[in-house]
Amino acid sequence: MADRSPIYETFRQAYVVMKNEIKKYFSGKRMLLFLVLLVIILAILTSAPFLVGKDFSEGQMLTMYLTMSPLVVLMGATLFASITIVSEYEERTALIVFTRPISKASIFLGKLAASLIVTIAFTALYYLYAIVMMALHFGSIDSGMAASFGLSVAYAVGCIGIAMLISTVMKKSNTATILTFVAIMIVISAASMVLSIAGFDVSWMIDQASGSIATCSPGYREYTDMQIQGIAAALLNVENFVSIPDFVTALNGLVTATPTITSEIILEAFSSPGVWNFAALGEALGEMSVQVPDVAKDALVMVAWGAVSLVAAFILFLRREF
Amino acid sequence: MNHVMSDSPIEIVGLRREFGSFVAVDNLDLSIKKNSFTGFLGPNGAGKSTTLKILTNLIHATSGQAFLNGIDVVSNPRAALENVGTVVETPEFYPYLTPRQTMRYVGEIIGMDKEAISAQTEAILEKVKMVEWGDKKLGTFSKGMRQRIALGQALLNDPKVIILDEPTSGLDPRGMAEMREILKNLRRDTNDLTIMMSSHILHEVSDLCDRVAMINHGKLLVHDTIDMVKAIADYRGINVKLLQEPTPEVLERIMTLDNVVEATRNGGNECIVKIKGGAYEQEKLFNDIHSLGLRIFSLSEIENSLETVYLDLIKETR
Repeated sequence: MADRSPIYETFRQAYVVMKNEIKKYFSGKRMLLFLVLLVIILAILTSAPFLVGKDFSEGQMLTMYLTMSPLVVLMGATLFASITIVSEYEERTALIVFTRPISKASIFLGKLAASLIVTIAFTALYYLYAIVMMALHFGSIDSGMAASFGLSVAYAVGCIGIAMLISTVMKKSNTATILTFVAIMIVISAASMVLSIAGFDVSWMIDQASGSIATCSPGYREYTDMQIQGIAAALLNVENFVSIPDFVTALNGLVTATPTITSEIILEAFSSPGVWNFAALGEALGEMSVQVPDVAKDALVMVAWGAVSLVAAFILFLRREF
Repeated sequence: MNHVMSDSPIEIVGLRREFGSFVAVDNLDLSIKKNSFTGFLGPNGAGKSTTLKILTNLIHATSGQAFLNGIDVVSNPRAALENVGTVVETPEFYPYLTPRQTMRYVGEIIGMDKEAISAQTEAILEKVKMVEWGDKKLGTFSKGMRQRIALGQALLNDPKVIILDEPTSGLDPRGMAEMREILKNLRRDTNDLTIMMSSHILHEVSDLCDRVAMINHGKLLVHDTIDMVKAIADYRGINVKLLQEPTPEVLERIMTLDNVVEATRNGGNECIVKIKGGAYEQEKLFNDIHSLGLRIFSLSEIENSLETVYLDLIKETR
């Protein structure tokens, strides 16, 4: 024991902590909740054609699975990573572990590794399910699936970093969980929107970068472009506009694909005093298409969010006392 | 200075911890003797838990050093805690683990091999009388049982130093008695072991410890063997049995006598008279009471208790 180098010891102990942490995840009610939510998501996605009463195209099904994958990642970060540090203090287990000859780096690394492994493993299962379903229905797999999964892993790093940062400063596990979800789903998205409206480049925001999880797929882009053109045509001929729900669905897809451009166009179209200029909006949309994302940059942005959050979390964890 | 050559397994040097403007530990110096069982006493807020939490790496020191087996825990906690077992407050365990799994987890963290963990686990479960509970989930255990497992995990790697922070706190009388018995057996059966234990229960400290360190306002008041600490009281208590009732008037008259500090009724015809001085003053008290016209049935010295000394020292530093 005394002969081992400190670096070896750090990683060896991190591995021990990681094993226990994974065991903790699988023994807790949160895993049950996660699995229930995952099954509900998969059940909805699988049964959607039957519920709607019509066959889905390949593009529609692909869009469904890809737009839901960030939610699976977020669920993992929210339910597991957000409690990983705070629970040691709240449940007083820190009194056993932290008083041992173990560095806080080992504890932090072990917990980070456990959160990443569990979240990424379930995300991989989700993608595997999506791939199997696509293959069964259409006999082919979209070429962007691997890139999308890679970007989901980068998103997992970002979300887990934010979750662990919140976990390090909070006193209650449940508060940390709620705050993580609110921070990633609402606060960051709202900040992006405000910055975007104010004219700032928001491509470095994690929510914007996570859009490429879907847009990196050629099948998704093709389907969404069709939707955009459909909306453009409908706006140019307002009398053809028969289904508001269809419009809303298409617009939602459009916002997911190109949030900044869409909000700019909508703002421009509706900013004229008096009447809403549907024709101008339709014309503008008609010239639009989903851009091929810069996958490397978006992945880097998401990992950077994770890295910065994790460094801050680690510093705060070192300073945190019992 | 990361290492210090000393015969004291626990050596605290100029330790200070501030919480804002409140000084919890005030340049504390304390050297715990090797192979001693030292009781660490002090009123609430005296700085006991803060000191022990610094020693166990749960909080940071503002300044100063705290050496465990010669290694400064402030600058090198991992090395300092290598040969140390701790039970701080009432720790909780992962409820999904059994005691054997908990020992394995702690053993793996320490770096023990599987065989050593297994062998030690069985011996420890025997020591803390939890063998039949070894494979039950800890989530179902009572507080007393969890505390015994907490002590057990502290012993896993045969530490040379054990730090206990109020180990019987919150236990029922039976749990307290069981824990004390385990600690007594541990002390009896282990040769090279130094124990430092904070407690509010003075008779527990008297019963278990051979030395005592008292602190108040983060400063050391006294540190010596229990007998020496008891002897530092500057008065003695005398149990006086009269042939008449010690009414308030009688007690008032006794209070006027030379060397008498306090006179209180102790039920029946007995009263406790505290006097300054030694045997001569005690003999003088007998004559003085007699000269008041009071008839004495018996007069005997009460041995100073740790509590008496403790309360006096605390009163002085209030």
